[in-house]
Amino acid sequence: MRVSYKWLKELVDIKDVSYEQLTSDFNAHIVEIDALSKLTEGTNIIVAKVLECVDHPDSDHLHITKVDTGSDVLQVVCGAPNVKAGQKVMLALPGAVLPGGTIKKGVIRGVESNGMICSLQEVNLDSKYIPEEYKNGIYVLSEDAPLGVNALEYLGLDDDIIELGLTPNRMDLLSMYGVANDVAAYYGTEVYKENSNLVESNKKTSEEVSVKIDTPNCLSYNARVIKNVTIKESPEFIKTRLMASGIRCINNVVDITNYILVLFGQPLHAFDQDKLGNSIVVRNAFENEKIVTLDDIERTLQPTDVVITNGQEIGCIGGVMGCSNTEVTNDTKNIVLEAAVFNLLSVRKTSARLGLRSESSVRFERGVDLNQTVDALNYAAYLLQRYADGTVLKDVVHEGVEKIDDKVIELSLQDVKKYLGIEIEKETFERILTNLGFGLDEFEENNYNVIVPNRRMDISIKADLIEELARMHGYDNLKMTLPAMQHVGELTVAQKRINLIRTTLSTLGLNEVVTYALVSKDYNQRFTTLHKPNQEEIELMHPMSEERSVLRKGLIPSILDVACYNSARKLTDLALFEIGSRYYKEQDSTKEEVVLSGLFSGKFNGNNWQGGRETVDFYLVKGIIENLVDHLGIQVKYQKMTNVDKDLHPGRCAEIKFQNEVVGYISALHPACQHDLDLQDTYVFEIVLTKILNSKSTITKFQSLVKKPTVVRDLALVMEKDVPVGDLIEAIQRTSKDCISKVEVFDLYESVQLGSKKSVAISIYFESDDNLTDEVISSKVNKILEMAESKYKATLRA
Amino acid sequence: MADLEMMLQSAQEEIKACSNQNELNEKKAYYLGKKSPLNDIMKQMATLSIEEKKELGQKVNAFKTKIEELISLRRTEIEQEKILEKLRNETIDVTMPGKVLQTGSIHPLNKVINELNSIFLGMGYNVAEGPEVEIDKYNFEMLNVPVGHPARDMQDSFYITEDTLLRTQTSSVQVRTLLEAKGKPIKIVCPGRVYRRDDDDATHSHQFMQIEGLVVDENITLSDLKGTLQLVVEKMFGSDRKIRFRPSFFPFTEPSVEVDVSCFKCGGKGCPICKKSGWIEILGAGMVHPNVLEMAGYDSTKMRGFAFGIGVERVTMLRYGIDDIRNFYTDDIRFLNQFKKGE
Repeated sequence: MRVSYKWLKELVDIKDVSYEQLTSDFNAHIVEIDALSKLTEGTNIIVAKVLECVDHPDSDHLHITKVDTGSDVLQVVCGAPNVKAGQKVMLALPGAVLPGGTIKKGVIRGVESNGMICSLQEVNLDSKYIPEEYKNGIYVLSEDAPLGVNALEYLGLDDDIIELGLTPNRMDLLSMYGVANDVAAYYGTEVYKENSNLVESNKKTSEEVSVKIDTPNCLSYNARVIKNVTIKESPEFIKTRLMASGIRCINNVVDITNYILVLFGQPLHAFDQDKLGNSIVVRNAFENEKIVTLDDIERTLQPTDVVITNGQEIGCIGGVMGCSNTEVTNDTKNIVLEAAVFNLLSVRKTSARLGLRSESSVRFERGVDLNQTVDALNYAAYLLQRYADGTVLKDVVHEGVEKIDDKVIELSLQDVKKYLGIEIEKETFERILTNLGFGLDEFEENNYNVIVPNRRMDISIKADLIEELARMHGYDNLKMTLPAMQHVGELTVAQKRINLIRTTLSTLGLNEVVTYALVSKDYNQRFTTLHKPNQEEIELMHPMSEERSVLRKGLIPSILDVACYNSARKLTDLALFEIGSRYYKEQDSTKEEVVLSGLFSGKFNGNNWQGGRETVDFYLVKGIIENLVDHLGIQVKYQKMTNVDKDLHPGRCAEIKFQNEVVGYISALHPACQHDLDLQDTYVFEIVLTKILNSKSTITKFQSLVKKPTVVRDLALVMEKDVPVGDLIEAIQRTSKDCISKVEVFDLYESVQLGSKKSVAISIYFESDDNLTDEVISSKVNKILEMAESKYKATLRA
Repeated sequence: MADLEMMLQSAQEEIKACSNQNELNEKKAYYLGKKSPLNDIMKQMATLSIEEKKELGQKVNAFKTKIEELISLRRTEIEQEKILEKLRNETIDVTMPGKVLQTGSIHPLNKVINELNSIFLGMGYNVAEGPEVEIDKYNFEMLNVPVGHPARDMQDSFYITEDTLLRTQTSSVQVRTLLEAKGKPIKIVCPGRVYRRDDDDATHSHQFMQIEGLVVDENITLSDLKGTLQLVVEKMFGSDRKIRFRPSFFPFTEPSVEVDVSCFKCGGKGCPICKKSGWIEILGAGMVHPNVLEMAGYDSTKMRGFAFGIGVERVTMLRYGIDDIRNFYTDDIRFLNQFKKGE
């Protein structure tokens, strides 16, 4: 809602309030201000008369004018094509500050110029308000404009615009009277109603028009007939006030309906009576009924739409837009003026479906105060009588609800204290509510029935009234206390684990990323290792784009996007992770699983000058996962994956098992995929965390330290290349569970001589408080060798 | 006798000239060993008187002791030189870069969520969670936003079916928490991702994060809300920050307020960051609407509550001076690496 400051000052007594104070109070007590602007800008611009106008001898478009300022005659060079002797114009004197700069005395192609004759563009008036004939030239004022006065002030264009950021509840602030009411309530002053002096003719409206409502979606319909109107320009005050309100002027009849809309918040519609006829029937549209609206577009209607008809033809889509067939044109003589109230949901549906959001529909959608509909209609009739020379027929033809009763809400001083935590004095309480126009009935000491007029449709319960008191009293008056509660806060085990994962991985050198959950469909077709066949994709009904049309079933494609983005910027050394959800449908219920995914690419760790930077490889990624698993205090198993996704490297891919279930994998990208994405050596991992996060958490159990020194035996074992060393290590450990504390691989050797075999060097750590004599150790080593030979065909390297 | 004197002098010079332990050992062997020139002197012993023998014996012994001393002294000197040389050789340029183990970073949005969580945990709140794919009933209806309500305009949503959608606000967790608590007091915050049909630009993102707060008990007041938020703002933005409430509207709170924090750049005098107002809008809040409480089975005449919703991106952008929301989802590592510092 754009509020004209000048108009507001006419409607409410705020002469003692500065503009700055007013706008600050709007924000603090009424509603947020979205923007402050000026209708026009420019200083030192006066009304002047062009006395003579001759062509500039040295230019094909400039004119030399002599201009009368009322006190002086100045020579001014003017480039406008439409400047002529005899015009009253806006003259910016030397020293005037315009949006385009400061006007100075000067010489233009050898001719002295003492100012500038202005166009409306030059004072920053929005071009949509500028009449066609002045779009390419200076503005010409009416002949009776007095010389020497401030031109913008004379034209009423020196206005400030307060643009309110209306919240959906405050439908009452969609009118100047509504805004004036709240402003007056805050300052404790009066609202001035605009004067009306309607003189009706003897002929009754009902003789010319009848109204019938055939739909529950029209609550009230009021009509007046105005005969013999003259279609012409509106008076200046209507034009400037409409401009300030953001509405373009058309002609006096249309402008007056818009003026009423802004002043009362009541949309009106004017029909050409000679085109509409004499009977009005309001009904629901038929299925697929077609009409052409004012904007010359054919519309297809539905039964949820309300239409105003003459019994046969549709003249208007109720509350939304009129039709060309009954439009008021320059030839219109007689008018039927409609002031109706429609069901807000019905208007909302219609305007949304047809994509027609107008000043009218916006107001109907939020609710129009039915109790002032007739007042608005009568004032419109008065304005048409006065500014369109019309004759207004007697009485209003009315159908539907006449009046909506005021609401009564019980409220006590105690209620207010309970809600706000501060006491509001009885006197303040009564003053605020009375100023807001609410009636008060103190039926018991400090207990009131508050009577709320219909125009405040947003108020229906106690809490609404308490809000009125709080905002008018001022939120700055609240105390600052903390809730008096006995509550202990704690993170859950799963939440702590998420934090731990985040800290661990970021400490180990990974950057956490956050990516979008909405992806394109082809993303869900890739990296599907963890998808199960019965997990269906979740798709949006109306996506904004193909790119963001489904919820992701995995995070890897999004993380690859991040890698590609960075890599394209020569940031090729990447270690990334994300904790996010994957989404799917399973037997018609939606599932969200927390997933940890990551990516390594390029080089990792260390500095360059010592040659410490290593190219990422499978074992780096696995090592970091092993670190993480250690920190989480869980056990997982890694094993070669058999059914490998097409984008993964079949030889460098391990699945991760937790509690005997595959929960994730680590893998190199398939070289083809890597090549397509233009990435260096890249590894990814993905782990579904649900089960891990919710697994039982145990407290570390201290084990007493072994007092005897550790005995280490190194073995070099030769075996076929495809023997999984991880299994062998576990098997070694199992041979003497009680005293082998650690088995470490310290070398892996392959060579031509070894052929299909590899040599693995292993350190075995024996730790025990029993006496580990050479014989004991030797027998344990022998047991290991026997096991290695029989199970893995691994032999001691010669 | 003069021989001994002379011998001592030359020995002294020779020992001094030794530059390593081997040479010293040779000198020791020469002067004190079996082929020592002393032997020639000792051979004279037989011809001397007892007195003279005694004197010569003493001198020879003194000579030997002296030689031993000189050698041991030189030995220590050589060792020290060796250490000094080792130290000289081992001297490095300590200004060369260290062997840094790679460290990563926590995403700034999660850093801020962690920070806020810890503030609220300290005040006795629990951290609640809820699904992102939500039913309409919890996202709208039970938050006092029935079908056709104009407030649905404010948050055009991503629907999946007629009655499920991507939650537009973490307030949906309010409903779930209220239903679960079955009339009991509540004190939670709920961080999470939410979705709205916005085109992505510098200030809008179709996916973003919120932290919802909800406190319900018998004596909760709007002043409690103000005190709580003042504390949070002080911890997030500095102890000299102030907050103010302005009238606003949310269907699920009444009264509803918009909360501003005094500008951290200018301190309230007015600057480009706060658009000359001295204040920056950071969150929306209010007293839980009685309808919301009643729909979840609470007696709204006995229990009241407050709720607030913090836009995590907004707070993060303000806290770190980030000017484009897309930075959070583009994940340029130059951006991410700026957030390594612990706070």
